[in-house]
Amino acid sequence: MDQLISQLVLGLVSGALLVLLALGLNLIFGLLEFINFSHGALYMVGAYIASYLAVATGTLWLALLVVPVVMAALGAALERTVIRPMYGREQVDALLLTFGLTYILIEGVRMIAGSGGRRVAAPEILAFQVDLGVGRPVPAYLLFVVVVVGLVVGGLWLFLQRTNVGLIVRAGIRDHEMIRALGVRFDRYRTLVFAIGIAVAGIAGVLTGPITGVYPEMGADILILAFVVVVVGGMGSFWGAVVAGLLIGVLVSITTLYASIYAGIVPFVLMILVMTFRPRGLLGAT
Amino acid sequence: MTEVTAANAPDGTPTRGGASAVTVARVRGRGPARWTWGQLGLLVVLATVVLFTVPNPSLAIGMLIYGLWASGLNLLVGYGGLVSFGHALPFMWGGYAAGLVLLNVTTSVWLALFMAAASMALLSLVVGAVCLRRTEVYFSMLTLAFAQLGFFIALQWDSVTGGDDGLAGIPVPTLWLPGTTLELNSLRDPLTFFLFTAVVVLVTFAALILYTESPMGRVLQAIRENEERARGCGYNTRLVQLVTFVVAGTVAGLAGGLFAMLNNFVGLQPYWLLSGGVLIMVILGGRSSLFGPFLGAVVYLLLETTLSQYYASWQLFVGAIFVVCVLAFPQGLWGLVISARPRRLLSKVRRRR
Repeated sequence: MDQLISQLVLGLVSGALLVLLALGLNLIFGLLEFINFSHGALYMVGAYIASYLAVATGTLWLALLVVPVVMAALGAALERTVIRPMYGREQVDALLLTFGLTYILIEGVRMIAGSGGRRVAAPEILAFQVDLGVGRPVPAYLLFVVVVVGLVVGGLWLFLQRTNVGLIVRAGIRDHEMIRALGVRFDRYRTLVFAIGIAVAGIAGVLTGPITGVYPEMGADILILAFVVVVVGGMGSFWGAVVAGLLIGVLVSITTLYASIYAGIVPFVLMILVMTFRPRGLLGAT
Repeated sequence: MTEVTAANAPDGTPTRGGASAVTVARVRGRGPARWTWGQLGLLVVLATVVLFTVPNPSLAIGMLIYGLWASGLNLLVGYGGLVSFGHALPFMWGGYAAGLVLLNVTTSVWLALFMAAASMALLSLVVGAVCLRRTEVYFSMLTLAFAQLGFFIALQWDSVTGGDDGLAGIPVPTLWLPGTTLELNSLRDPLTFFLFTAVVVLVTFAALILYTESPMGRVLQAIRENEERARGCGYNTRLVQLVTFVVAGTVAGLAGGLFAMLNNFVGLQPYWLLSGGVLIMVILGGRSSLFGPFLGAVVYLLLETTLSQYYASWQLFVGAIFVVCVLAFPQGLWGLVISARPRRLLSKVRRRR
């Protein structure tokens, strides 16, 4: 029972990180209409920047503030230079382009930081255990991750629902030609949304560092899981991604406890089941 | 009228019956119109060049095998508009199938290759049935997920696949021909292995051309151009795509079987990376023909072996090539060669007059 509770917490944490990646993918797919294959690699870049900042400043706090800004700038720059020519071409061209970017980013990080991983220390204030009342005490950092993810998800939701910019983004997802016809400078919103998606992936990278360390391939596996989350939750569905991310995180960690050899397979089996019986995803609209 | 004949002429094949939608595609100039059976001749030339210029026999044979694999994938990518990110799955598992037959049943080349192809046809039928429930990017993500699923199974099922260590000790296969029996030892007698591979690859390549020229292949291209219209014409579009998925998977299985025989070993490496590698070959060579990806595979392997000798981070260049290809010349190397043909330039000059 103790083990089950701690596995559940771990599952919730990894699910929460998946949610951050899946939300970014979802938002980018909604407005820019392509699947960003470099999302995982950018998450990895964010994690690496954080690991160096943490060493330089002695704490992760600054990284948590700086990395999203840096990643947003990087995202905006990428969108303006290489992704923009892809609009109006087939969707898969952008997918292939970002796949090439993934190679460059992973290999670039290997060149600079080496193939081996780096450890990242959690902030010292959070280096204690929390007794939840049931099960074994949980490291406070894990709870902190869940809280931060909750704040980011809530913030994104409020941004989309309550601000004028969010309104235009949502309208653009529905029908971007109409938005253009109304005189909105749509290309700016595409840059903005891509930057936001990458910034959120960067936050996920920062948060992951102290849990698993950082290594060049860290983005690849989680990206494929994030794809699964997007498909299971329903393409373009905000809460679908949240629900599916947490569900898959928890399912994987529980399987790890009882039948660890199947843990890698579970998300894909779930996805195949969902695609067979509910192709639009758990909460997908169409 | 002249417009229509001009569109049909370079190909030479008359378009009949169900191919009318494709004619439209060709007029638009995106379809793989030129060089149908001529591709087979080009392939013979390329294989001969590879045989006489590539010093490393294992690399030369690998070029043929990867070329076939990439050409098969282009049925989906170029002809069907279905970008599969999981084409490593039938390749690697075809290797396991051939390797297991050679290890446990018989050392017959024919049976091993047949089992590799047949088992991957079956697997592709199941995988395709699920993946083709959605198209476009969904399809890409689903194929990627299936490949990842396959990777985990191969990793965990080590009593069959050897897990992380790979399936080792595959015996040298025997080739039974009417009258003679040959040992296909890629180390001791690479020439025989090369020639055998070349024959298998050429026959399969011819079958691929036949498929793209068949009514079903034409409908496949029509679906890529406009699925709703093809459906409106009364075609079962999903079935055509599924058959294509199975054909591509079978070819990949066959290629994987050959590759297992070449190395006497089936290793385990991340499937997404491998699937991406074969996609790069397709894009590099060009999506508009079957020969293009073959050329792409040869050039890619040449680049890989050359660059990896000098730079540890050669994958950086691979990524850069990929980005430049997609950005600057999506028609690929072969597309560039074709559009730069002197006759075409001449006709452009004439038209201007």
